[in-house]
Amino acid sequence: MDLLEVKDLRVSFSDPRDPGARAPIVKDVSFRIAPGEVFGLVGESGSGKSVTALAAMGLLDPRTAEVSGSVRLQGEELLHGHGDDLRRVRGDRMSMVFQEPMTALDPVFTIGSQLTETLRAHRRVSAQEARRRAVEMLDAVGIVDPERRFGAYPHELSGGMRQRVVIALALICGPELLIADEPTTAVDATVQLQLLRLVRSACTAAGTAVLFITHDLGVVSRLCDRMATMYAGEIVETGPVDQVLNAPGHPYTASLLGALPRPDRRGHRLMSIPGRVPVPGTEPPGCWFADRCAFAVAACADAHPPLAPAGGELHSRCLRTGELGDALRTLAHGRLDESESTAPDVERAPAAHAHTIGTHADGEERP
Amino acid sequence: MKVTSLIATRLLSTVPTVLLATVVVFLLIRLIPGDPANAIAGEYATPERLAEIRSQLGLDLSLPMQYLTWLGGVLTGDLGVSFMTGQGVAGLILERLPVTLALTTMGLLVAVIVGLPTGILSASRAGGRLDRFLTTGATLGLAIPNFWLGMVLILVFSVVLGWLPGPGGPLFSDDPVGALRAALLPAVALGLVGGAEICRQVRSAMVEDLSSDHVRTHRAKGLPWRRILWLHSLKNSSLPFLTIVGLQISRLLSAAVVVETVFGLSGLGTLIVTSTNQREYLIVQGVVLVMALLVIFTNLLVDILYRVIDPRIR
Repeated sequence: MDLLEVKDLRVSFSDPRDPGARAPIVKDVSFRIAPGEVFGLVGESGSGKSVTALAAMGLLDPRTAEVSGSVRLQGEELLHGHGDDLRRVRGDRMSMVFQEPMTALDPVFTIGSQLTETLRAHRRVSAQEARRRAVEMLDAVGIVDPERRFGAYPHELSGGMRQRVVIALALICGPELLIADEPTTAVDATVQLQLLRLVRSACTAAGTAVLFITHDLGVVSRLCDRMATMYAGEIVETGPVDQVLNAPGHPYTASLLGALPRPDRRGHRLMSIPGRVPVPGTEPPGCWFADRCAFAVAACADAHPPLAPAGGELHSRCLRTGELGDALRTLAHGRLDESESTAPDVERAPAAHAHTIGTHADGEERP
Repeated sequence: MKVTSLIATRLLSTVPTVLLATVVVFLLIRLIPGDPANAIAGEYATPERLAEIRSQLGLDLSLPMQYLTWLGGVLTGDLGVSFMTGQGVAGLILERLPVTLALTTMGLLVAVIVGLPTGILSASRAGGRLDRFLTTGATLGLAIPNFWLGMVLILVFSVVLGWLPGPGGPLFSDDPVGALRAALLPAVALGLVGGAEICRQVRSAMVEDLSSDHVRTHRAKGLPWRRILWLHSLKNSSLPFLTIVGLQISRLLSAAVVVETVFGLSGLGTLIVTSTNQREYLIVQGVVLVMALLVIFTNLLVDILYRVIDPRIR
């Protein structure tokens, strides 16, 4: 059975100035995550990735957000249950790490008390036992001198250390699923790789599945098993990471890949995708990416394409996915006439970047 | 900074403030027309008699000399004596101080008991019906003058309903329960406006805090909402709360002047009113000095509490 099953998730927000208007931000999003799997959700800012995650966690404000569809954790429906049932799941079986470590922790409580209260909100443990587990957890996420740091306040820690504490908060109850919403975007480049390794190793060790939200395809290629690309609030492509990144089935994913800066293209102009994401509520009747797409034909404007099988486990929301195969690979990875396979090419682009980071990042960072 | 050195520097820095306050009061009271010698000697006193009284009271000295003489007395603990009765000013103030302290303390309690929970509830349901009801109530509460509220309270609860005693109650030392009952209406009259202000400030601070990232983290951790609200968000919003409480204390002290008069309580407020009317310079100066010290002391206390609550200020 799937660990997490998101089905036809729709989220719309009411506009306080115009209560009638409720343009959906997330549109019929469906995906599944298997136990222990690392699933990447990729897209530009505003594509609906974070809202999808917050909706799944039940963290959207019911006064402004309208959520429909279904989110099931091991078959148990989370969206339409009693509020307190969802609270019990949050932080225990399913937890979340946020983008901004500087503000994610409560400034007037020690990090130790924030850890122990999480544990004691879900487990019947004594104060001493909670303290012991919290110190253990701080140690596990790489906090030096965890006994002493237990009594530290968030402002006494660096951004990278705080994000480690947030990760410790998310993992202290041993969740089945961790949702990581761009957890490395706001920290120094030197710390990013350490945090990614930490998330990966901690989750692998505990068998925790991860929903990893990012706009960084390099991170996806290193971390994730399967992925989905979101565009304008819907999933346009999904499949195993190596398949999607090597031979994308949707022009949008291919364009994102083509826009990555690469060492072998030094001196060339960086590729960019022309145009803008349609404003919610103004999507055209046909394909929403058509007016930015290099491969659009007349038929693309007629009907909104479904997420259809595109070979192997790949699914793509593109009418021409079957005929475009090589063209998309060229767009994503440059010319195909090189004898070298494109597969390591993808890996190399972000990895080359990562290696330079890695050499600086091996030591433990300090505040 | 350590708390002890904070207290020391704070106390030192209050010296100029206190001196300034005494100078201003010293000059203001002398701007009021009327001569204490006239009040003492009566309407038909000869000019010689008046001059004699003035020289006895030290009123023939220059203003700076009068001020310095008084200040010298204050530093040695002598606030002077009443022109009219010869009673020591310090004794008079000590006699009246408990009434005013009890009244302002109870007023502050009423303000906090009314303002804090309503502010928290209002923030918790921001935009909802209860929030709209409470914020409307708070706005009304702010608009009501406390002397008028005092009169209405007397009319309703002691004249019409007869539940509580009217103006003038027993002394605390004679009948504690009776004295507290008598202080209830004035405390409510005094505290309700402060409660409205506290409610508004707490609400706005908590509405902001409840939309913050760390509250989202607490929710993601699965903490019960009441724990987030009453522990985390409240502590995070306690700096604005403390600030407003500190301001309320000085406001309560000045409002006590009016409320004591309405309820016929003999505290510092009524003392300063009658003393001003009788040109009892020394009593007025003494009372103002004590009130200034009280305000400065509470501000210092608020500053120390800031540090206790928010680790980032330490």
